[in-house]
Amino acid sequence: MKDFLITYISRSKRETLPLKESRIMKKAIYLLCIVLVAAAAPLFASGSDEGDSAVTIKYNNFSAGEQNAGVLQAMIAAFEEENPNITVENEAMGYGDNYWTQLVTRIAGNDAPDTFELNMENFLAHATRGSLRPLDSLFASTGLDKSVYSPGLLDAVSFNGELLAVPLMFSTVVLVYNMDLFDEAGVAYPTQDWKWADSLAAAQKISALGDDVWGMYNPIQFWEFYKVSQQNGGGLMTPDGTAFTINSKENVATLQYMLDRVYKYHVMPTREEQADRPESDLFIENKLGMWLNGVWAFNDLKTRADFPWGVEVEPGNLSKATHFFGNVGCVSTTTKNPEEAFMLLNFLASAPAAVDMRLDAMWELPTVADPAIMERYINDTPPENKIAVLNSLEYAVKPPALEKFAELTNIVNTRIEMARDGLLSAQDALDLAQEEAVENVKL
Amino acid sequence: MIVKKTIQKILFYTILTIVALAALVPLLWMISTSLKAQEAIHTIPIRWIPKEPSLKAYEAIFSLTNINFGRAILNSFYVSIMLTIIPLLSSAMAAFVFAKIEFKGRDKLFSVFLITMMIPGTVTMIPNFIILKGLGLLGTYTALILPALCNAFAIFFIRQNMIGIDNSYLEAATMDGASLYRVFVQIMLPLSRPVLFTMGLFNFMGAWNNFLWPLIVLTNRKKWTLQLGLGNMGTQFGNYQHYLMAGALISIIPIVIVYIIAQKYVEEGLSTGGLKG
Repeated sequence: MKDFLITYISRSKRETLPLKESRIMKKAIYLLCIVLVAAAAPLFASGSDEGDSAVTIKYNNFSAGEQNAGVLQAMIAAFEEENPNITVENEAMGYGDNYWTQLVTRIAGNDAPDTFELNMENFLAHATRGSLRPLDSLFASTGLDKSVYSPGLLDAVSFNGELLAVPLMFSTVVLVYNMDLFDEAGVAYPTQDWKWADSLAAAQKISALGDDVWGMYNPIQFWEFYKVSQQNGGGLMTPDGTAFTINSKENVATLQYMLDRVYKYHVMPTREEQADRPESDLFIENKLGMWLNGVWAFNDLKTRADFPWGVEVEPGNLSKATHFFGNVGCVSTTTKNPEEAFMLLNFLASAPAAVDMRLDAMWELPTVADPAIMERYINDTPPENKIAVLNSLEYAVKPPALEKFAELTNIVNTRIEMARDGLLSAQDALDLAQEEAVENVKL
Repeated sequence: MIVKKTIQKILFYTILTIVALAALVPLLWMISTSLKAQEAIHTIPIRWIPKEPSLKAYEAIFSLTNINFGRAILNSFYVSIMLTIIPLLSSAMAAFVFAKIEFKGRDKLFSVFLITMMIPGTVTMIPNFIILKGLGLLGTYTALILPALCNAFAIFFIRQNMIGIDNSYLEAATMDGASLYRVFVQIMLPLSRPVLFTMGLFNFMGAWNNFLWPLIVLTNRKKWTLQLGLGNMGTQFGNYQHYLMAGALISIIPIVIVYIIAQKYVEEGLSTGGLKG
């Protein structure tokens, strides 16, 4: 070790120089340490500290966004007031890949937040990975009442017979329609019994009203496809989830129908005809008769649409299938404070104060079963026939429960979009998607 | 002959101008969008000069509930400066050793350093995360700085330059009684200035734009950098694009200023760092 670093090199000749290497090394190390400590000093100071009895819960979430950030803060403040020994660290983030990346890394790195929010498709992916703590025993130990939640929603957050999340909020997707355009085209308003043929006939009459007037708008992509295929007796997997059925004859007929609405019947604009205009703008400008959208769009439409508009359950074909979006709260398997984390989730989902705040802010729908609460929501119009929002829940379908859900989405969506752009036929697109899914997505 | 040359020149500059303008289009769209109201963003055809330009988006991003934008800017400066200076110092030290000090296995050790350049950052992400958790450093800026201390590319880049420095400077200083530390600080560092500036600029730009690693280790919103703030503006049901564009424009200003200041050195540093060795 003594000779380490003391030979000073010259390319042509070597000379050993009388240097005190250990002193130099020490100086260098001191210097590095000083700089590192300087960099870290202000941060250690602001680290979290906990008292003996106080508990701090980290709540990682994404759904509030900027619009409802204040509402979430108020809910948390109300919870902390009710539970003075619990402090909540609100780790509110934006929605997108960022959120999932950091959450998965933290779980994998054994540093999961005590409690975190998931949307439905990611809930299923996490449930299959085993990163969620079963909640039945927590309902028992905290004495909280499970029956305050809608049974359908509790069913949606159960996996293999275990309750793995608290349903925090939900939205359904409904058929939104412009009553003026229906009147102008002489078509009766949609009803809950409508099928594909009824909506297509209405769309054709509305499209005939003008060059840039369109009967309907339903996007051609993965999310739409997995739902519409179920309306036609299809689906992406066998009921027991052991095999893919992406290119089944029902699915091919479904995709063909979706394409026909654009290219054969022309009741929906092509991408060129739409020219990047958001569907909401087409609707507001009286250029779109029917449009599928979630309850989250109501606020915007309410302020911008100057014509009467209503909603109805989405038409099906052989059966009905509707989209349901929900965000759920989960307790980490590694938290040291599962009861406190669980109490927070229940407060956010079902405490009367929190439910009121959610309804006032129109931040999706509360998940409680009490009909009186929902009545307040339904009577607040427009849109007309708001009960359709709740009726749609009856036909809600879940996305496939797969660990590699993101991969499947990517494969199927790429091929469907190629069909949408005229690069592949419906049959070819789904044949390729089936082949790639079998090869790359393990079941 | 002259006419032919003139035509060639005109053609050359026309093509270059078109390419330069094309490269500017996204920037112009950013500026234009940041001055629009939410409803006017998607109008077709694109309205390049907003009908009613306003600085509301710039005002709004500084009063968001979820993200403290002013604080994020300060955090970004702090992190970027630290991530420029500290890794630069550690890399220069290592480069000096690899370039000028001989010891057994030096070249082999250097090869190992170089091999680490081949490992994608995403592969080391979770091991790094677990190590930092073990050290209790998650949620601190040290967690950003520590993994950056050993930057194989920077060591390689600076070493290439240091190899080219004549040993007679070092020998003369040593004969005058200078310690190795003094040789490093008073001879090697000043003589490597262009390459250090270049590497410093790379470090600064990398740190300023860094997103993934801070996203994972900085869970406390008070410590978020500007890029984390921008990346977390999205909501489940749509984005505030005018806010995003205003924020993104603010975020590129420091990079442009630093680049303008350091441009002369960077050009020099790139040529020396890249060629000699």
